[in-house]
Amino acid sequence: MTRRADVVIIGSGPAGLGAAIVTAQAGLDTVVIDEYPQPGGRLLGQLHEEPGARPPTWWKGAEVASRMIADARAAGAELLCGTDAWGIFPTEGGSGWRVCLSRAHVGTVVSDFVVIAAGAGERGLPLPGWELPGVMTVGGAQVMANVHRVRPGRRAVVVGTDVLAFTIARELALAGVDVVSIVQPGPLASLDRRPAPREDTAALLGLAHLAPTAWIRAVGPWLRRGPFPDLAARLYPKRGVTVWNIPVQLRRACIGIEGRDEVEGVILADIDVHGEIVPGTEAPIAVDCVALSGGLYPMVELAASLGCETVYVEQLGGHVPLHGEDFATTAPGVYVAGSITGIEGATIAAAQGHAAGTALALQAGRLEGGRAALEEALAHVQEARSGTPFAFLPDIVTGRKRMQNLWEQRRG
Amino acid sequence: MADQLATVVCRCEDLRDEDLHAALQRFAIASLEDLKRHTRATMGPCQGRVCRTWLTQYWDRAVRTGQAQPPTAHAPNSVADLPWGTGTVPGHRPPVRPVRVADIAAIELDENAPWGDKEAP
Repeated sequence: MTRRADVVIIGSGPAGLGAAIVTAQAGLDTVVIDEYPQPGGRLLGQLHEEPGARPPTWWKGAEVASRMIADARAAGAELLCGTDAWGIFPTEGGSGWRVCLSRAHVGTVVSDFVVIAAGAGERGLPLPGWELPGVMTVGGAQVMANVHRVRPGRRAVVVGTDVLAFTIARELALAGVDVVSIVQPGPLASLDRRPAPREDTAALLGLAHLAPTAWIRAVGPWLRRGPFPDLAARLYPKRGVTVWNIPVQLRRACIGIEGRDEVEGVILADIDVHGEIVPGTEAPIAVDCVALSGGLYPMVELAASLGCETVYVEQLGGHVPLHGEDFATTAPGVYVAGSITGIEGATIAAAQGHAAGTALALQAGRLEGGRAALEEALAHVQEARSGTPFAFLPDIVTGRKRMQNLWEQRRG
Repeated sequence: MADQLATVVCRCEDLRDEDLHAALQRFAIASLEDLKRHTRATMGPCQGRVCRTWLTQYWDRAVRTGQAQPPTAHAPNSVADLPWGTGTVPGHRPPVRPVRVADIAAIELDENAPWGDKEAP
């Protein structure tokens, strides 16, 4: 297949679909690429109770995806799935880009504009035994349970005490998995990483202040007993606080994963407030599934490989493409949107995609509303951010400002 | 310590902590890029999607603990002026996903081809 298009969008998650709906509606020939056999990205597995909503309502990512996919197709976008965009190269004779595809749609698409909405990857945790079958990232467990409808195990332990780990622990419980405990990661000696219960407790305190979920409502009061995270970490009960029948154990860590041909159990041990293992407290727990949460990072590889300049901004989650407020990058005609620009939730990603698509349509001279429509789309991103009950990264706003400064410096 | 050395860091290339450690001992490794080329870490089917950030942190630790001594003039991998864990990642090049040679060969070249001449065999 060799095809021409006006816009190629990499990724059919909320950011990619958000961009596709706008560019296709603007009359631009739009092709969306996704490596997964069906469109929707990480929306497909998302299922959680909306924090603080009365009456209780659930965020069903798959339904959100269906609506966005229908909108994109109705606007005329073509969705190519089960194919990897393994490389993007500048075309020789022109100013465009050649997107090379494999597997389900072998060939190339040549276009003037590219939007990279590649999302995020998971860091995982290199604990001893992490490579055994039955050990997976929390995201992997979520895909198995909620997308493939396969129970990832009968009895699982979740390692990591961040928002994503909590959310997915509940999803696993809903899928019929006996989640025995949520614990801290033990020392990652290869990376010189040790448990940091004080920092983790402080992070949870930040969430407790927002009281976004049943988890935090239950755990928060325990944490608030101490005026400082130090004291809270000391006071936190060793057996954990049980929420949805799952103990959250901030003072217990997974120090190893064991099994011969597959995971058979984990070794848990107590940790003190400094993150040191308390000798003699090690105990094996039998599980057939371990879900690891080591955080998310922006999936920058494709953008970096085609020549977008990248910068390291810790508050955004790692190396990200240098980009402007309108999501343009240093590569001509190449835009970015969603978690590749910094780790945030689906509604923000969708708003960013919409804004990036709008900026692109403006640059292509196809935006009916002109500059005002772009301003509106950018304001929408801010609204989505301020309306979100919790942030994956606590200093995301600082990170966004920093990126804006770096971009302005680059532009001179 | 035994657990640490036996911990797998790059699953695709079957590299444990001790393999990276041995490479640091045996070769004059001056950069993260060197470590990658000596061990093939990040060069397997996942192309570093799983271990790239770990390898960066592993390298930072090696530099800080004196296991590796990059020349200070070696700017691209200098960690001196960066916060912990932020050292330069190995470069990104296509293909960023595993791709069959047949899928590359099937590409029809035209006047806009980025590589080679359309007349070339």
